Amino acid sequence: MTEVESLRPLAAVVVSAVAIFGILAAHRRPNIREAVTLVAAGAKFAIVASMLPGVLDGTVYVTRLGEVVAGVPFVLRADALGLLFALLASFLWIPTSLYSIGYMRGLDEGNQTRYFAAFAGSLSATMGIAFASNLVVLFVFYELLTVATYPLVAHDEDEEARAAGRKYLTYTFGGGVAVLAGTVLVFWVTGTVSFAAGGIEGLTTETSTNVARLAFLLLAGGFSVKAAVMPLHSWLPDAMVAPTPVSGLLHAVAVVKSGAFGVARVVLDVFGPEAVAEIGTGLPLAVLAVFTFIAASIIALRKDNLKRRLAYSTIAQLSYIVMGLALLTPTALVGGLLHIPAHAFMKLTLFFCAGAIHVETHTDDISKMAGIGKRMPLTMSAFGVASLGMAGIPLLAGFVSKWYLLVGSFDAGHAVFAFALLLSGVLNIAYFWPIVYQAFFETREESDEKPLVDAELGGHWGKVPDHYTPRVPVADGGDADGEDEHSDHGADGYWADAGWRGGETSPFVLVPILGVCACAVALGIAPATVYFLRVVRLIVENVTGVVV
Amino acid sequence: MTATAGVPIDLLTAVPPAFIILAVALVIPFVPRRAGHTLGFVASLAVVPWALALRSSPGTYLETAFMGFDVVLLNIDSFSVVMAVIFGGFGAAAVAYSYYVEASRLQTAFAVSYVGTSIGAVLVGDWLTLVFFWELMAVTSTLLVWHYGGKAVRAGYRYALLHGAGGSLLMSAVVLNYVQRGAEGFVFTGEGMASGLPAVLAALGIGVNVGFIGLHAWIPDTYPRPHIGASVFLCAFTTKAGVYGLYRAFPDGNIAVAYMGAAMTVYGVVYALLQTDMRRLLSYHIQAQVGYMVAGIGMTSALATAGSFAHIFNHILYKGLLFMTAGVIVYRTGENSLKKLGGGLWRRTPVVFVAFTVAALSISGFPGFNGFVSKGMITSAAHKTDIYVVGGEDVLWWLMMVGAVGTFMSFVKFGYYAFFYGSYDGTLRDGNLGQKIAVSSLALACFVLGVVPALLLNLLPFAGDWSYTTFTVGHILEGLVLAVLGVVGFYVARGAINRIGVAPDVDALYNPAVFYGTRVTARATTGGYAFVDSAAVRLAHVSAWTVNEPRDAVKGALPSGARGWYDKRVTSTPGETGLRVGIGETILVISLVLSAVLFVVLL
Amino acid sequence: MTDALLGVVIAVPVLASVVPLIASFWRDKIGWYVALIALSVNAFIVASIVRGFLNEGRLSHEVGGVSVPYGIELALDGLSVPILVLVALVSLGTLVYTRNAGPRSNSFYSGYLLLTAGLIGVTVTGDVFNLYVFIEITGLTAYALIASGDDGRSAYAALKYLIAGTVGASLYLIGIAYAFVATGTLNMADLSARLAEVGHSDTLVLTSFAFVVAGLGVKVALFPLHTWQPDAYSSAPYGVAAYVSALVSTVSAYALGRLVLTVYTPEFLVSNPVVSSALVYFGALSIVAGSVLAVLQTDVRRLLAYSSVSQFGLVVVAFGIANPTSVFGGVVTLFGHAVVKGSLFFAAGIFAYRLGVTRLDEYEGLARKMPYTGAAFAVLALTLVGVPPAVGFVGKWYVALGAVRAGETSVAVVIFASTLLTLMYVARLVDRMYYGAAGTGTSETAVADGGTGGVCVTYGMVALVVLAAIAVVVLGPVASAVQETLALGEVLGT
Repeated sequence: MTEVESLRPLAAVVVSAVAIFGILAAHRRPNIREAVTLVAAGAKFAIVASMLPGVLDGTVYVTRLGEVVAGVPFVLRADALGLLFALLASFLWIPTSLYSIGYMRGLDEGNQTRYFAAFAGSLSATMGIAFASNLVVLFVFYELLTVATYPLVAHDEDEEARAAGRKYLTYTFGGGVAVLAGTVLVFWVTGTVSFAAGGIEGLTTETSTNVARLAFLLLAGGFSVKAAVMPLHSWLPDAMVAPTPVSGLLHAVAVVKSGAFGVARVVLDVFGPEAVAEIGTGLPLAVLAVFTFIAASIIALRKDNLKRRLAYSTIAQLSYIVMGLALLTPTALVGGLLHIPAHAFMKLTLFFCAGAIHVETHTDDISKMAGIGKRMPLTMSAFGVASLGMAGIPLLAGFVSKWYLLVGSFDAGHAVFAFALLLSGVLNIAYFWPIVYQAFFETREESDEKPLVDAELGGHWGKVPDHYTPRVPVADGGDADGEDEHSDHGADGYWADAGWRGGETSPFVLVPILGVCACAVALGIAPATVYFLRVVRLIVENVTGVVV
Repeated sequence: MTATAGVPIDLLTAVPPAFIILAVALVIPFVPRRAGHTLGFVASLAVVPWALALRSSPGTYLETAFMGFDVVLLNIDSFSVVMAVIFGGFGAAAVAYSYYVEASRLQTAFAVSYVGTSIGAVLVGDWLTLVFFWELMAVTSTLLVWHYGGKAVRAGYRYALLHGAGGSLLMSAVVLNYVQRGAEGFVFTGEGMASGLPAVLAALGIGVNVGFIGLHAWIPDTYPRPHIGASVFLCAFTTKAGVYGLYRAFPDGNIAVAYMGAAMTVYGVVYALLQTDMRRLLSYHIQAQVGYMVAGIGMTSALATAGSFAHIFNHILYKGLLFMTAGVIVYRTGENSLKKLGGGLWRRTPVVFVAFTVAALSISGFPGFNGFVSKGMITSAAHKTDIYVVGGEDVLWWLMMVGAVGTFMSFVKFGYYAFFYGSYDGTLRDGNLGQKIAVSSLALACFVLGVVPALLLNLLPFAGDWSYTTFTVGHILEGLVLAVLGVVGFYVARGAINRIGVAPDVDALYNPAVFYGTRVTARATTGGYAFVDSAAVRLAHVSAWTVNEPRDAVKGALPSGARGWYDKRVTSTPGETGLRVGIGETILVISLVLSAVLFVVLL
Repeated sequence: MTDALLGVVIAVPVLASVVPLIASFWRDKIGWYVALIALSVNAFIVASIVRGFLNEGRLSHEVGGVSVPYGIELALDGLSVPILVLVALVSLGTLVYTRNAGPRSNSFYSGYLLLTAGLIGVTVTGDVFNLYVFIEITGLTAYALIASGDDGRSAYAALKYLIAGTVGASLYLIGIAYAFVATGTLNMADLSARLAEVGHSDTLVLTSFAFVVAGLGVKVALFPLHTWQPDAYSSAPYGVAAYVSALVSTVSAYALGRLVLTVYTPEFLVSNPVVSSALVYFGALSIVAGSVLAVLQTDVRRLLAYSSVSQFGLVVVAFGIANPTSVFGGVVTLFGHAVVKGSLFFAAGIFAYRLGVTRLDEYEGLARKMPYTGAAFAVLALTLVGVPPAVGFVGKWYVALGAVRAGETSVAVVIFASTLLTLMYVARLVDRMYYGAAGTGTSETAVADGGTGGVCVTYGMVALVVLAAIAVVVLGPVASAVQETLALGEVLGT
């Protein structure tokens, strides 16, 4: 592990901070303002990607900036774990910026300058979190991320948005305070807070096991607020009041993943897996994570608002990561860490689709989306593919991380975690696939009442006597001889058929959806060639010395 | 690498056929219907010669690493060849059939992708890729069912949930097997699943696909609902891939599985007898016939295993034929239920009638047809086992005999009500030549394989260590006796069967249980959680309220007696809450604090 | 040589305070200029004193050559240097503000100079009785300045502050009287030695400690002795309110720290644990009560006043824990809070003069109308909360670390909770400024007649507030670098 002095970690953090001023300056000319965002996004990703080959063969890029507080150096350090998160966030900022342009102009939202500036700010804070070299720097950027994302959550400025913003602030600042308390304890016990792969020595000596347990509780609890582990999760569904690109990138990738990333830092680089096992706090955290993803999936069954259902699905999937980390076996760690990019790609696609549906048809509730597959075929196909991935169906990113989590939980000797994971997979099918099948294969009259669970048994067809033979569709859809019943209004009079050539929504919205969905599939088919699996394996090797 | 028939081996094994068929499936929706169907037909049919060509050089090809685990994408041995041949052949016939029953391009695309994933599943050499294709098979078949819309959508949803659960159980079995056995627990090394939990999980996971009793209700629930072309595809692939998976899991057999198989034969037949919907009757027969194969796999003898693979081969042919004939009847009359059909069709649809008769005789194991060959192998293997002997024969044998008789009775019922009883007065839609060709070619195949069994027998696995002569006096006599019993039995029980009507199956039990159970847990969780959330929100609201109306808050907190005094105070002192302290009170407070501090300090 | 400067630094403002009164016979508006000259000279002197301290360490000077037990000794060590620098800077800063906004009469500036002299005196003196004298000077001039507001309420507030302040000062006097009776000396260094001989659990020493703490408690405005502060700050003119809130309570808190830490020394606290935990819980109570009362307020100045009550609670807790880390945290918090609270009052003043807003719900959408002052106000408020990397966070970090090192975990919890409590009232303010519905907030009438008292906000005033906001953020890292130089270890004798 050779340390290389370089300015690249600092550059990655600063590039979008500088972009903020560019955005504010160009607030009268939207095109230039958006160009600044895109350039900053590209530059940030380029900087982070340039460090990838170096990190893969062991070098660590370090920028030293003096001391925050006595004994705590202000150092930005791009190690494998930091790079995994930075690579993901910076890469996904590019499609999200494109999508934001399409989304914000589609709805011609107000305060777009503040929106893009705050977005750039939160990305630079995310980079800071990724490259923090010790708990204090991580805490500093963790709080700055909260401050930067507050204007995005309260973007609509109506009472509901501000209430959600206040709730978000209280939860995340509460979490931040817990993290600060934990940091102080760690500093007091070991005299340092810098991350060391495999854990800081002397943290769990016999004398200090209770303090170590309290520190773990505070740190893991503080980060779990942003990782939306129950019972600290209820800010996330309320934060769905924010515009969809915010819910997409922040509440599926940057903010919540910073919580999961924080838990990963605590488990891997502050305590180290052996120490966590020794003080016995790994198992309770895993049990809490399991409870969270089962309960969140069940609650998601009853949510009719699409974005709230996605929010509860995010809460569930995040607890996959927390469970993977808490099981402490090398394969479970790989599974948990790999689920960070896997979930990011899939969930971002789902949020983008929800946003596209909102922009084009202003429908948010699933019960009103029957037959929308005609109106937005490409969007709903991307939604279908991504929801397959969420259930862990092969060929998609969800399968890869679920596979490792399964192997990890059996390695750890707790079969119950594996079965909980599989139950959650089936629950995923239960609450995602009705959206897909009603979009493509049902018309408004035939669709079941949503949420499915509250309707009566058998849904719409339950009421129809058995002998009723449905219409025999001779040859619907595009026929050989090319005569499409292409009318302005679809067959069921609600959705006009927009055809498969992408005319359904603006390219700014459609291209990111299909691009991110393609990434999810790519990560599913060849996880190693897409670098993420290699980085994850390197992280676990550094920490546990075991090559998975 | 020996070159077989002029084509070099490495060319043949360059790409697994599944990927080619999936590629074709992607193309079909975008090309005209005729071209699309021919493409599908050729791609599927090409697998037959490909498999036969490779039969002479078994072994594992295309070993690559996926997600860090070493996997075998192509594994050629006697088992996978048999499966590839029948899947490829029948897939082609089914594509042709769906062209002639006017299935849409998208539906055939889903169907061909379903064929592709099934062929992929049977050709892989390790458990990870088997799970890979297993779940993709479930997804593509769900899409195939959903495409029809209407009632099929909700049935498809139930199908997806059950297969999601089944796939997950198999996946956990594979993972546990890998964790217990290490790397070599992955590739098919002939020992199958590690005993204990992995074996149980694998049995349950595969049991869903194969239709163990209790896990079978999706077959009659889903198969009759979609388009008649789709039903033909569905009836062949999932269950048979399940039997193949069962063999991989239990290569040297398992007694419990054997007895479950035998029980399935009887259970399926009894329910089939009670059905009036044609395709629902045939679906129950799938479970019955698969019961024979499961029994064959369960029995440890080589003859039994070879017999079950033979039965897979034959069953796909005649069950496909039965669904095609039923499909043509539905296509031409628009009626699904035997009661409403009115019968008397044998004059109006002679080719369909002949094909149906051949298929019915094959499925019942009547001598001279292919069913007789493979069912005979399995029953003679059962004859040799003597675990639970009752009245000179093993229970397995007795159950199989009852199943055979029941099969005869139900097909006599089907034939009688469909073709003879009463007369059909409805308008008859004219079938096209293509349907007739497809149906008759399969009937011919059943007949030829029945007459010349050697064609199939030398294709079967474990070639050396079993021998079976089809046409022995004992076998033929047994077949005829069963046939007579079947006809007499139907004639006797006809009245009783009509009176019982369509009996509810096990899904009438677990569907409401799962549905209302989920609803109760969902409401309990959201309710339970809403309680915690509302407590948090109420706390936030109360604190916001106290901040906005401090006066009422303070008054609320005071005991009722002091409220009057507080009201006077609020009006008298400036400021919001009346807590402002004048000069006099300030001094009072200072002295109070001083005395308190002195008290504390001096104590 | 530099020791002598300690005396000069008090003398200059005292002498200068006479000049405006005399000059008022000719021209009545020159008070400001006199103050400017005097205080810049004074600042120069303070700079040289600090340079002297940096290379010679503790400075001490007997006034008039009389030897220690009888004469008055002026001393300067790690604890008082930052306060001295603070007084010099803030007094100059306030001048920039009051040039246009604040009262401009000559008598005001003579009072202003006297107040500054008193403050410097309290900071520099090494004699307990001399400390009482300077506290009285500070108190009296502060009452005068607060009374300089032009409506009736400021007169009432000044009277209330006068009476409460005098009661406090007299309690302090009784306290040092008991100490004098017990030991016979008034010099701090000598007193601490003598008190140790007399024994720290002696009743005389305990009663003197109780009186001193109660007396200075009133001056520092800890809860429940704080009732004079909100009226004083909310009715005084903004310039005065800023100056008083920044320095008067701060210097009183320094005096409390000086006595508790160097006169009674931490051994006193160790030898009677009940007293030390009482002091710490007294501070903790003030943190919580101050924040809760601050959230209940609707007038911004009263909110800031109650916020001071809470922040000083934290300082008293820091001094109560009495180990070098927490004391350094207390000093940083004192310094940071003074700059932040003063600038917040300046900013509130700018909003009041420009837009005529004083109530919280009138702050709706303010940031959109005055972006720079709004942004500065938000940064300062967030520093108060303790958002890193500003000075608030550094102060809290050290106090918390000290508390954890001293094993006072319950106090550490209160300190961390104080972040959330401060967030409660800061978020209400910032949230309205940035997210309120713009336009409804400003009362149109005030703007029409050119704000209250016809004051037009100059760029200088806005620049001052923005500069303060930047300084506060830069101060964070700087503060941690300064820790060694203050050498608080020797100050506490640990």
